[in-house]
Amino acid sequence: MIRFIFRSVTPVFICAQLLAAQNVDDTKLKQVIIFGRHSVRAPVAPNSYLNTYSVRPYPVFGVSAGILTDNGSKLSMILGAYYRLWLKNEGLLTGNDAADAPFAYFRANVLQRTHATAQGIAAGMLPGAVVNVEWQQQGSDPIFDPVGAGVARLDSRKAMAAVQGRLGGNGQNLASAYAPELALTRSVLLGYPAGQTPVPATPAGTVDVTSIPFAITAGTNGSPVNLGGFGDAVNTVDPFIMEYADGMPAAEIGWGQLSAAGVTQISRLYNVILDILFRTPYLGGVESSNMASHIVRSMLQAATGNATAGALGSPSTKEIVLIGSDTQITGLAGLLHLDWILPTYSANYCAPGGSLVFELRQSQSTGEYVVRASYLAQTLDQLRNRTALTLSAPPAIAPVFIPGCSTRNATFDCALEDFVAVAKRAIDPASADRLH
Amino acid sequence: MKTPLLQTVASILFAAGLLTAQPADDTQLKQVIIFGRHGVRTPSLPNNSADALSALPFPAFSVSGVDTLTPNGARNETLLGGYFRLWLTKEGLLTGKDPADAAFLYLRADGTPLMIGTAQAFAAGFLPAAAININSIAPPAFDPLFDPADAGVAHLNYKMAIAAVQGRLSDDPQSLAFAYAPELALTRSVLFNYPAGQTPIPPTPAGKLDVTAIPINVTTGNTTMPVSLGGLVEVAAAIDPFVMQYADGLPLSQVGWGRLTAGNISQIYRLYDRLLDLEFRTPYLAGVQSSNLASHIVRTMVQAATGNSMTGALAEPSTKMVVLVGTNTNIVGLAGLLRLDWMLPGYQADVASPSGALVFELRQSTHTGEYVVRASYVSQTMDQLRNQTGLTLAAPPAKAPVFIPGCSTRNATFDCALEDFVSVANRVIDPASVDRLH
Repeated sequence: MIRFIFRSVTPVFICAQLLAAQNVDDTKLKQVIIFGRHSVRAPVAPNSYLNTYSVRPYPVFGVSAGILTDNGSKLSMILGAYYRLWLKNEGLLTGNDAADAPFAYFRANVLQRTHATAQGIAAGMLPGAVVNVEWQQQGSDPIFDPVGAGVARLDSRKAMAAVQGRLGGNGQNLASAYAPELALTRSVLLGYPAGQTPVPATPAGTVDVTSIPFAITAGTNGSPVNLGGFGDAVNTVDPFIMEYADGMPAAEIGWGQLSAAGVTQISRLYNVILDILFRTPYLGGVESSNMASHIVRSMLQAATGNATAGALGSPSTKEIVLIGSDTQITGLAGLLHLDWILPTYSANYCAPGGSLVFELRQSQSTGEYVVRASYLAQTLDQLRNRTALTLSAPPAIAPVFIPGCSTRNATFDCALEDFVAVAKRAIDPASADRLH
Repeated sequence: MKTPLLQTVASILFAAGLLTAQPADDTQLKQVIIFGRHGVRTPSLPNNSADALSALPFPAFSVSGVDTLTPNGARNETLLGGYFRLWLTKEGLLTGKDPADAAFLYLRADGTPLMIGTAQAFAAGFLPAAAININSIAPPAFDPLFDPADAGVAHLNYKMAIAAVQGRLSDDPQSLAFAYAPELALTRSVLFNYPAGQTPIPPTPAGKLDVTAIPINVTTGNTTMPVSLGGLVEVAAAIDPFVMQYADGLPLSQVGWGRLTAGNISQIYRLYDRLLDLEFRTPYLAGVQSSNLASHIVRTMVQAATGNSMTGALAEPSTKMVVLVGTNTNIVGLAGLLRLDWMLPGYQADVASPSGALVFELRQSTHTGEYVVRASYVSQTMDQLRNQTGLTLAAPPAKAPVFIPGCSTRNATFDCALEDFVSVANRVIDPASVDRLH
């Protein structure tokens, strides 16, 4: 940096209220699209795999690999109950659940954990109604997995090139950039204090996951690209945040070696792989255009009142709840350049149950429609403690600026037609359909 | 993550050779644009200010003054210029006859002694036998390429800047502090001279300011820092010397007072990287601050490819080498505008290291005549800087081929057709932040 700005340290607070002095909000919520991740689950990799990399066996969750835990189900209901309070306050829900239910559209990706999360949110949001969750139990849902469903085509060689061209052509560069997190991972897995020098040798019978080469190769099993050992390392750290969020005793969270801050730091590895595999522009375009297209067209359908191909629900639908995985939320956020940071998490972290929320609002004075985006999630401790959520004790919320669209007002309003234009610039038409 | 990224160790090496099985490269380099950062310099904050932030006094460099190119920084820049000489001689762009080649070089530096000194040092390695003219705009005027807002070419809306940055964070200013807690803790331990990880942490020494405790919030900035980020700016100022201490070759006992390895410096710099990311890669800010540079780079390539003089292009249609020297803020901004990422050994992602350069090659197929663009990021590693390592084609600086999103094909060199590069750039360039005069 050339002319470095060292301001004296006192005048930091002067402009803190700039954003507050703005016009009164005269908009009314007309439709909300909640695109959330499943809640707390067992690790996706089975313990038989994980235990090859750790000197101590991973703790056992009460459910099989990748399945939503009982606490995850409860946390989904808590989150749903918060949505109920918020949407009643906004006038979108009336409190008469049976009457409100026809205006809600719930859809979950094919996995058990996404379906069960959607059911939990529905139970908290509309407890007095039977809510149908659209759920395709087999195959691929085209809005969550357009490649698997045949709507979009992934060129795996181009995917490798796009990833290599972000990593200096060598996945091993990740090893130096993330050395602190990999060292922390090794210390937790092999059971010695972080920072111990010299680092102890790998015990016989255990594989040091951090020493497996980080080779960039063609993707398999739904992963657009493989990152070699980096993927394995990510698998081994995946359980820790779930251990914490599921309320396991502190002695079982990274075998007692990880605090909440340690969980957040080690989970950076997980965030890096999501960024590489789903925010890389080529990959975001292929993987998330269909979701973006359906979200935009659902808003247009609601604003115009006309049934629209490639939209979800019907023109009268007020709440759209889509439950998928962090991969999909990361991808959509990358496609639209959306960023956030919430307390207790790394930047752009997709927390269990956390959701991108798009509000379609209408000005009461002019009739104009605007879009507001936010990212909302229970904090790590709200998850762990299963904290009840209210309007005065809400989950963490980050209002999100939509690049190329949001104005500079306090709520980052984005005119609907600008949102459509921004989305269209980002959407790859060859990777979207208008059928589902 | 939906599908576990499980794969057995045996299958990892399977496709490693995929990208190599491609047609032979029949392209010839026609023009290169080297957009580099200044060399190793003294810290931006004078020691008498910085010492208020640390338990021990900051070490002195071999030259006085802030933001001053060090002699070692100049030597490293000359080494890098020498490397580019070797590379471009091999590529056929240089002939070995420096005075003749100099006519095809356009060298431009932002108008401060640090930049001009860097450009001179680069030229001394690049074309040592020629007298080189350095184009620059003397202060108090501003160079519209590097500083379009101050130069009046682009207009920065400060309220929009605050919203755009605030809308990447959250309402809670401490979110950033939590997200970077390990780096802030490391910073504090170095500045206050206690072992990293010590608990409980010692209190702030009497008379000293703990920069890691200053709230990080988003308020109105200025043309150099479009938003103010409170404590994050102070932290960046406090850690700014460490990479320079290492790269300038100060004794290890003076690099973070003996508390920092190269790996620690890379980690601690995540705070600085994050500041640059927020200030210069945020899409609104990149659009305002980097569109003019992007426009000039693209038009310079089109000028060379067509052979016709163009407004808003640099130098002449016959110019073969364009070398621009600016700051990490300029490089980060241009990369953000075009969504370019890189990673080099020893550095974090997207770091614009001292002397490091974004390189754009305009190449022509000798078979079809088609023009393509290739991008890369080239930089000496931290240890190459520290050791003033001689650079050759066999012992080059670190190089990351860069995929240009929306343009690069999947071949081994990520070729991007010139017309696609023009359209990708035109999609991201904010026309209201560009002129075609300079």
